[in-house]
Amino acid sequence: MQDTDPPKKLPQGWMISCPEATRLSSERLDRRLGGWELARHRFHLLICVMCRRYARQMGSLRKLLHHHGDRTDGLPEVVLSEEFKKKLRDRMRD
Amino acid sequence: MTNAAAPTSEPAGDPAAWVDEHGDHLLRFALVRVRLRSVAEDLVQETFLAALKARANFRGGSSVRTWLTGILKFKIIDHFRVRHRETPFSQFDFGGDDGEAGFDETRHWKASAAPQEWEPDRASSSDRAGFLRAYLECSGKLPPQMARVFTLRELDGMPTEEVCKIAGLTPTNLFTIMHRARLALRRCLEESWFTRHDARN
Repeated sequence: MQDTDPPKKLPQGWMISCPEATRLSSERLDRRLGGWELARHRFHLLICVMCRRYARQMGSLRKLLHHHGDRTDGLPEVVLSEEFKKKLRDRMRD
Repeated sequence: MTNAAAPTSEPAGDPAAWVDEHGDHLLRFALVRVRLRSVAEDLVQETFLAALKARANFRGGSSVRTWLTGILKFKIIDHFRVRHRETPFSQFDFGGDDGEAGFDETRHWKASAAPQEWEPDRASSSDRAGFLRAYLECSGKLPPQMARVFTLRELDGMPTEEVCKIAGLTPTNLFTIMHRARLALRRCLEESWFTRHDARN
């Protein structure tokens, strides 16, 4: 797991921690990151295989939810009961 | 072929037939978002009653189903708005993981929490039913306020500022909530779905 260990000699400020990188992997889906934040985030992902995987999975999760969230044929077992439908039809006739 | 597709003169069709044609679709749409069956049923009922009143406004530019779904979307947002008003942010339940739980004292991933490689067929998820069931299961474990914020943002793709308005949150709070929701969902879905190989038979 060598590539998950941050290199020892780097200018101060370039290194962010894994919790910080995961936070940015989420926030970049909700806001535009600043230049410096973005650079540090990218740099961390270059050297950390776990955070890279995490960031990729965040993207997949968003895509999957966008893709499937509206497609209600995915839950065929969820149906209104006949009783509920009858009551509703009756109410709509009034 | 001239009059085959025009059973009634109303563009929205026969309201009596809506329940059978679109009821299950609306119920599923609501359930994925509000998680509780009873709440989903109430919203479906409100949607049909509102649609009945407003059916003169339906101009046939879209399908009846799209029109009904649009009304339901508004009903869900209203429902969320009321719920968020009832629960001020100070009482917000952030849930277990504060964003640090998966990391050790050197701020690296704990072996037990590190992201696993996902099964390629699961990550591309052509199995919509399996994925949605796993999602319902996992989102059901989120604190309710967190789940509502997550739903607006990720299922309906609502812009950050609008979600903040509905939920009465500052952007910073919203980012925190989204981060924690994603941490929790990623972990739950990884266990129950993304690393399972042919778990269902």
